Amino acid sequence: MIRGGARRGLLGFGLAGGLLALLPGLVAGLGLGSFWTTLGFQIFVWVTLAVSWNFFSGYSGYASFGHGAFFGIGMYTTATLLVRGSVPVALALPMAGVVAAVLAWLVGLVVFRLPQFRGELFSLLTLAMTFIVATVVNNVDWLDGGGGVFLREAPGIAPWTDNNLRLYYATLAIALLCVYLAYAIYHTRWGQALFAIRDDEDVADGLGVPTLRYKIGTFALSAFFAGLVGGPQALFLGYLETATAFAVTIPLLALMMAILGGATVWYGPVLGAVLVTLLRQLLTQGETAELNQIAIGLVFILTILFMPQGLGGLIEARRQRP
Amino acid sequence: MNPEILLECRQVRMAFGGVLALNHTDLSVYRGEILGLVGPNGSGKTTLINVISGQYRPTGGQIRFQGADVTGARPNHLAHLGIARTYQIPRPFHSFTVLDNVAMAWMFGRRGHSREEARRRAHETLAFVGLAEKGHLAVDQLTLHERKFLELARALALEPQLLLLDEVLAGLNPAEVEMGLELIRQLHRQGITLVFVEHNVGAVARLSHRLAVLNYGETIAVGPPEAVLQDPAVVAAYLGEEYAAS
Repeated sequence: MIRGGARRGLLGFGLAGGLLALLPGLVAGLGLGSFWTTLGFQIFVWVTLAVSWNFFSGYSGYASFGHGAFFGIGMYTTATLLVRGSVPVALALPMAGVVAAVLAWLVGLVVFRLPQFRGELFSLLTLAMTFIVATVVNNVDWLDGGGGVFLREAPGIAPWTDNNLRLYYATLAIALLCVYLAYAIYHTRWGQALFAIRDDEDVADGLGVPTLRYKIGTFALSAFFAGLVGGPQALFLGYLETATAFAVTIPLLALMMAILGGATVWYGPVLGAVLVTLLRQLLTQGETAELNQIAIGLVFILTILFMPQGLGGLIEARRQRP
Repeated sequence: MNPEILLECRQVRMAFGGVLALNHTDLSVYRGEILGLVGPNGSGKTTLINVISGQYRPTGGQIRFQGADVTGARPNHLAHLGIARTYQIPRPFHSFTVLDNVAMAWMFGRRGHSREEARRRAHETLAFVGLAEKGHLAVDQLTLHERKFLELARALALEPQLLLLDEVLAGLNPAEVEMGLELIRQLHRQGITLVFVEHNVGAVARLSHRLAVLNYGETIAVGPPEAVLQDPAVVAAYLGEEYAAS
């Protein structure tokens, strides 16, 4: 799938990755401490969530709230494997993505066949899926059972949580891979198929696009990244409970970041995720938690009113004008 | 030598809730012919196109293409087999340029070209329908008749064996209609089999080898245009029973 236009971007992604990888060393050299690596980690988690949401939902027009379920499943998969299964961390992390992708694939297999589930009903269905998954996790003892899960005692996780440096690198790698994938999809036939589905799915099908395969495959891949980045998040938190792991605010924030940054451009959600995460960080300092929510809500409303194509759309429009 | 049947509809039924849009419709299309499909408003012409192209799954009956049963196949599968269609009201992809609209079909059609090759071929297809200079435009910048020809270009980019044209001429001025008829003749010479749905019987009769008339979802007459248009059942369907009796 990846050829031509997508290959040209590799150099840029290599450079960006190299720079970001050197950043913690620089920060330590300046004596700035772990606050900055933790902030970097949080940015990479949100970049992954927003970008993986977007390369399915933004490109295809199927707005999903399922990202909360997939992210939560990722956290709980890693936690369960570590705490109950004593699985090595290096295996427990990627499994988070695999389990999320399998669920998305199964859901997609059923839902995408039915033309009734286009538009709003798809969104509601994925939201319902999130509630169902959260309820199951909350009631099955070996997953959670209602008391929450402590990861701190799990074998082998100390080197990961000591100074968050490993989490920084893990999420950096995941975010880079995810953004590169969004870039590659955007510039190839794959992206063209998704954009055509967004514009007019029936016509796309009639022109030879195997719409079902594209929808299921991309949805599963999108879920894979949301789950994958849940692993490091679980290690970072050290304690999971269903109310926060499956919070509705997670898919909403991912969606908001993507739209704010520009859902029709591959790099839009990167901008959105970085800006909103920084804004949240800035506003939660001190005692302004409520103000934080209001400010972010306001930014979102103004974005929709004055630049419906988001920041990325604005940049693209500028670039195309001579 | 018997002509080869390319497409065959056997007793096709299509019900929407309690409304029967197609009622045991039979239709055979021979390879290489131009078949005019006519009938009054609501007679089921567009529904039949939708069923043949896979948009709707028929509630009964069978559709065979090149001898194989393709009933209920998905549109993209039928496109790969060689069935293309146009829409009565053009349905371009609005976020694509005119060129990329056509390139889509070259990319995902029977041979699956790369994006670069698809764009190159899309240029040629646009030139064929007279839109050579419009490739870089957004589809919103096209006039109605240009959109109709874009619709046609996209269908041609699928390299179809069977092309279903749903009222491509409706809404065009006389000069544009002539252009459209000439294009259709050229497609026929290239060996494409055409099913030509039109509300305007005059235009169809001039071009078609055979006419099929639908009324209330049933095929009431099939044959050479002159004979079909004098068939009392057809006259009654179009002009009413009283006129037919007089």
